[in-house]
Amino acid sequence: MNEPQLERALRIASLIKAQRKGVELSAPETSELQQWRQENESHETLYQQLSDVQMIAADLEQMDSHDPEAAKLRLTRKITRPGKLHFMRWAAAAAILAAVAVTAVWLLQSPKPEMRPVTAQVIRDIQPGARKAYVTLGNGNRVVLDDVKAGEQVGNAVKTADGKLVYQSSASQAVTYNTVTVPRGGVPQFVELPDHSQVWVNTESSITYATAFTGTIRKVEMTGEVYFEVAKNGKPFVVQTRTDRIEVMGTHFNINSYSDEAAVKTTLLEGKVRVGNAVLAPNEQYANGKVVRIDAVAMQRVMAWKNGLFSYDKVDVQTLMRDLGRYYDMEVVFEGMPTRRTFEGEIGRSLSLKEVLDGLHFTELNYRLEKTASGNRIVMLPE
Amino acid sequence: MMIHSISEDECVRLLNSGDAKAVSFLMDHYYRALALFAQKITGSPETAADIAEESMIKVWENRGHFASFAAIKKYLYQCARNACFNELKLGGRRERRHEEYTRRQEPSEDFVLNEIIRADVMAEIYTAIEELPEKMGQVFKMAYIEGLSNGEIADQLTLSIHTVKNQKTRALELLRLQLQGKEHLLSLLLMLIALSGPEKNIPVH
Repeated sequence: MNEPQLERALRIASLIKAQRKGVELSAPETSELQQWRQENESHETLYQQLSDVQMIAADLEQMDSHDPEAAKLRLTRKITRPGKLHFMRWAAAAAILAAVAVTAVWLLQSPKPEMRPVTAQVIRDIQPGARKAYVTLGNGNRVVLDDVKAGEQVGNAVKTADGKLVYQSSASQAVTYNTVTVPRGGVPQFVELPDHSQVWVNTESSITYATAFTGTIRKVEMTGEVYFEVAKNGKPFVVQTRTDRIEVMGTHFNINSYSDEAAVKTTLLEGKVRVGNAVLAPNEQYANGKVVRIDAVAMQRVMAWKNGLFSYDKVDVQTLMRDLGRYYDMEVVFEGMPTRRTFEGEIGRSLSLKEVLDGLHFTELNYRLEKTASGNRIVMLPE
Repeated sequence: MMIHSISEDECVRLLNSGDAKAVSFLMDHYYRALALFAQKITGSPETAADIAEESMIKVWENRGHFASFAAIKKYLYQCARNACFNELKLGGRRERRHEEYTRRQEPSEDFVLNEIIRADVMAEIYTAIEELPEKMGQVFKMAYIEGLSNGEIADQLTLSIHTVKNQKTRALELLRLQLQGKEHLLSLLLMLIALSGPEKNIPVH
């Protein structure tokens, strides 16, 4: 069984599931299902079995005889806290995975002493999420979300038990503007807007919106990187970035407009958006006036941050360090020539900086962490 | 019973950040289906349970590497399938641990893929049954899984027979399953009667 075959099987399963729920399949989906049913008698038999209660009763009985609760208890004993972490494919052009983890800081090996600030202190490690997301209300007050208890109100919104900010639609309130900001060094924040659109705000990013969408369009301004799942409510949804205006009806898309990136990128997962003079279809990305199609792998890279990962495919060290610098809130400085090697792999975002860098160190990136007057700094050393 | 429900997206995020709630979600939704799949391939319920559990552990061990829920599912089925094939090839180290074991031939890839489709659809059907309103779910299970007659169900749950028939029909409707046989037609008539709670026990035979 190879991967495409497995993917096809899971696709067929989801088509059958959709049909069972009464969802209408699109024309290509209907023909894919038809084709599968017709290509082999066993497929048609399976299809019939899955909609007939007497046929599936035996399967249900079998499933009933297995108890996940008992298994969960056994599992919790076997699952240990993260000690050994697996770094997948942190490979550079000629990397050798070293088995030795070296401590993150050594002071005496800097080749250019004049670049070291006199006041720098050595630091050990940085945890993610050191700086916290906050809401700026219509009256200018700032509320740090971490300080709000679950269930408490923040203006027109409520902070939920899992840290999300959910707005309630309320026609009677006067309309004001709120801004949710995730600072550099903060972890992504989820917001549910007054129209039930779901929004994830990435590190060093913000969104500004009305607390009630009373006009003919729903407008949101943003900086940085934000992922949207826009609720369909008949009114167009407009996002304004530093350079583009993106118009959608009901759809899932990611906008990366960090000012230290080369271009503002709008990536569409589902639905339809208009940006510039282009209309995007799913799996298309708009940047600098051009539309490109991106494949499933590249799409996963775009969406990795929302799924709690850093995900890279042949990234240069400057881009890598720019993302890490943003997430761990540290200044990045290169001593000497930055390596020309590229990096690929996936790594979880809940790890501390040291754990991420220990992974990096296997690929022979050398660095030094220091504390300066204005914060933390990582100095990348030449090879 | 699932208490806190999280979404598939949240499961990915939680898994990647090392939160075991994600495993709980996966267990709730896919453990039984994986065991069903493994049992179809290996023929042994105990082996199947082991394989389902080990697949979950492997997912946990690889946390931090799943970019989507689809990726997690793929990995679960791949692990289960490989474990099944290992069992069949090696004749099972489990053979020593568990008594019931039927030696089987290695199935064709098409068979395996069909069983994956079955397991994945059954996972959802099973969850849908769990989510039926309480009485309806009980009636459904007693009728179709335990195979009790309408009279037996009516007695055990202190309902009238026509309530039992009604609940069966509505469950099938909600689950969008079909039933072969005339029962279905009779139940259609009874659909007109609204259910308003536990009914008086009218003795019927």
